[in-house]
Amino acid sequence: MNAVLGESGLGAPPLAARGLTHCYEGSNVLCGIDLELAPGSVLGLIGRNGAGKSTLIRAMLGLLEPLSGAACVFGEPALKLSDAAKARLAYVPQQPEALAWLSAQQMLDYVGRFYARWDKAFAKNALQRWEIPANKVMAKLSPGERQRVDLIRALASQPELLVLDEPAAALDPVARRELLREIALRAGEAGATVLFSTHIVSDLERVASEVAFLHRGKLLMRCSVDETKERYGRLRLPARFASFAPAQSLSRRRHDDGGLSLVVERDTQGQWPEAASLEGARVDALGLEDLFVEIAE
Amino acid sequence: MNAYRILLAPWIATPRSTRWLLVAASTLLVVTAVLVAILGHPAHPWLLGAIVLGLGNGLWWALVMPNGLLLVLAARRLALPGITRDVVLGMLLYAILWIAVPMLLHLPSGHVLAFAVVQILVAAAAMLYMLLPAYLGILFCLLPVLQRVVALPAIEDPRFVFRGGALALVLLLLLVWRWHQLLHGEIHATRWRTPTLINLRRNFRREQGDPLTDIAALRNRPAWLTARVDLRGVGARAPVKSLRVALGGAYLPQTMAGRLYRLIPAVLALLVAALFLFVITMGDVDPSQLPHYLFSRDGFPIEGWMFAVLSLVVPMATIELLLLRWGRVNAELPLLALLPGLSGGGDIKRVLLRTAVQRPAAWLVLLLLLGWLLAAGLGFGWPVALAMLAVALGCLAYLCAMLLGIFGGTPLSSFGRGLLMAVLFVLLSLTVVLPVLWQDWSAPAVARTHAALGVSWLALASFLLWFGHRGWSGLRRRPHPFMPN
Repeated sequence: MNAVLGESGLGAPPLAARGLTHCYEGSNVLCGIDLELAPGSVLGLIGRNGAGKSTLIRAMLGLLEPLSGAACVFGEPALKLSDAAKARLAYVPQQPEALAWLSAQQMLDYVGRFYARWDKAFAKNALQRWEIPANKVMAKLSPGERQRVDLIRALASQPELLVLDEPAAALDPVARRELLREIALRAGEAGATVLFSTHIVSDLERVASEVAFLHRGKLLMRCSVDETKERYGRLRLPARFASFAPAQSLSRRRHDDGGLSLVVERDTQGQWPEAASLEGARVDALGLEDLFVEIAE
Repeated sequence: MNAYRILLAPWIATPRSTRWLLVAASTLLVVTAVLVAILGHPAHPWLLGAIVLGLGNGLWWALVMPNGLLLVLAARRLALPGITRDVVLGMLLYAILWIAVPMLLHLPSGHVLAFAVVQILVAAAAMLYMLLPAYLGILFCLLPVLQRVVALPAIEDPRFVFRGGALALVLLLLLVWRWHQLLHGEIHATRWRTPTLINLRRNFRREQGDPLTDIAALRNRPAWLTARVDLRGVGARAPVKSLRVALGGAYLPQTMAGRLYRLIPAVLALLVAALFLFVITMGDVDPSQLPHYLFSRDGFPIEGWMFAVLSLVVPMATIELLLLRWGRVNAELPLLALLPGLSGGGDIKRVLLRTAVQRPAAWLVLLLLLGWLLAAGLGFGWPVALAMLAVALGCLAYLCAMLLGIFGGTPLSSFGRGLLMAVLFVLLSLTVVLPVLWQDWSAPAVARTHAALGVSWLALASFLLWFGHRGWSGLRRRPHPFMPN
């Protein structure tokens, strides 16, 4: 467990996981997940509630010890990160509640002392821009305000790897749009690598370069956001050809008339499965949200 | 109308974990009351029975029946019909069971009315206490004043029925008024004005590790009680102080003004205690002699016992705080795990242990010094001093073992903690009180007590050693200590 995946230091992927497995109270939450982020990419991790997104993120950052498998951050074992690696990374958990006894200003002041590249001006301006009362104790802020303070905390450290667990869950649409703009800016201009989990598909389409779909602890698919429409489709097969359905499909649903709906993928030559050419069969293009719903249902 | 629902109403509203405990305690007291009534003093068989039953009755009306209010409030919020009626009818039914039935059984004693007045007084006072705000509840400590004003005669006095009955009527009217007020008014968010019942429930939920109530407690704290945090010098160069900020609670480094503000509740509590002592001794003791009365060799068992209890509170509060911190995945743990330079170049596990133990240990030392000072001032010798040292060391060992369990991922279950607390409470109390008492005992009795205490301490030390070792092994196995349990 926790063997070094690749070469450490320069050239190593910012975040990588191999064969991550974990379970809670006997039920599998992660089933052998392999995932690697390329430098500068923005990966959106999508999945239903309870799919294992938060557990995967926490295991990848060394915040929990997986049953098996290994995760690396900048080439270092996630469970034993050096201070140098920690300084290059920022993580915002879902519904952050840390240091609720400090004011927003004190919290940023406290955390900022541990980062050499801490952007004090950004922290101050962001507090003002997002209209967060700087001297109010965090416990007295609304969940949305607390989430914003934690986002400021993460962004002010100028991380090379930014990991956000459902960052927009408690934000209003305006704050959400601002956050997405900030993520795009960090990735585009500063070259930061971003991993964020969500189940808001429109957020993914707006900012992610890639999408990974996690379902019942398994990574069902991973591709670029632009590619999804071209690569995946819904194959409808009439009942009489149901037995010709391809064995490989991302989801399979049987209709009342005996017909089948399957989410299928083009092969390496860009061709749909053979069954798509059968009489009465058809392939519909799927948007990201439709794809998500089809697979998750 | 469904009798089953009516009987069940207060039961449903009572926390699951305490239901059976309350039923067991109440049943035990009822059975004791019956046995006492049958086998008790031949001259007054009913009196002791009434008092013991009153204890069970009070327990029931303080910890079970008021929960019906929570059920009614929830039902009103959700617009569920019929619940209010069920709860009120349930109260009447339980009143009959607790008061009327034993009354009938006491008919032959000829003291039925006095018996009923005692039970109604106890039930009404217990429930009223739970429905009143916490600060008014403190006034119940001043009941001796009320006794001096009302001049309630002894229970066996024939005048007791009339005066006690009048007092019971006043309490019942207050109860009805308060119930009505809580149902039709708004439950205040501040702890000062919420009923004791709701404050207790919040504390209970917090003990269960409910993060929402933890944050809610901070949110409801008045601005003047908010911590004034001292962040000077915090950073990679001061890992212990930095960790104290992150652990919060009593660890939080505060400015001088913040420390003074923290003393206010303690000073208020001392004033209330002093007032209470003054009132209960009013007329019996000359106020100028009160310090001598309190700090005397005769009074030392109480002070020694208080020393033991306060010493036990230090590790207990620390353990509860850290259990809460190590039970939440989205709070301080991920922040600490990923904060660069937090260890200050050292081993973070040792830094964490040092931080977690240092302050409570300092409190224990301070308490020990105060205890020694008092014991020496009263002329007690080395056995008492040694007993106090044993109490302090026992508390420190308990703290270290439990902390290792928390940090190593092997914390003791809440049942185990409760059991251990009870054992410690008894053992520490006896350790510090017995050396004072056995000055008048025979040598064999002292030797037997020595042996019993020694064996108990050995058993406790063995358990703590084993538990601490298990925690230490867990901590050594963990790649870093900031993993939730």
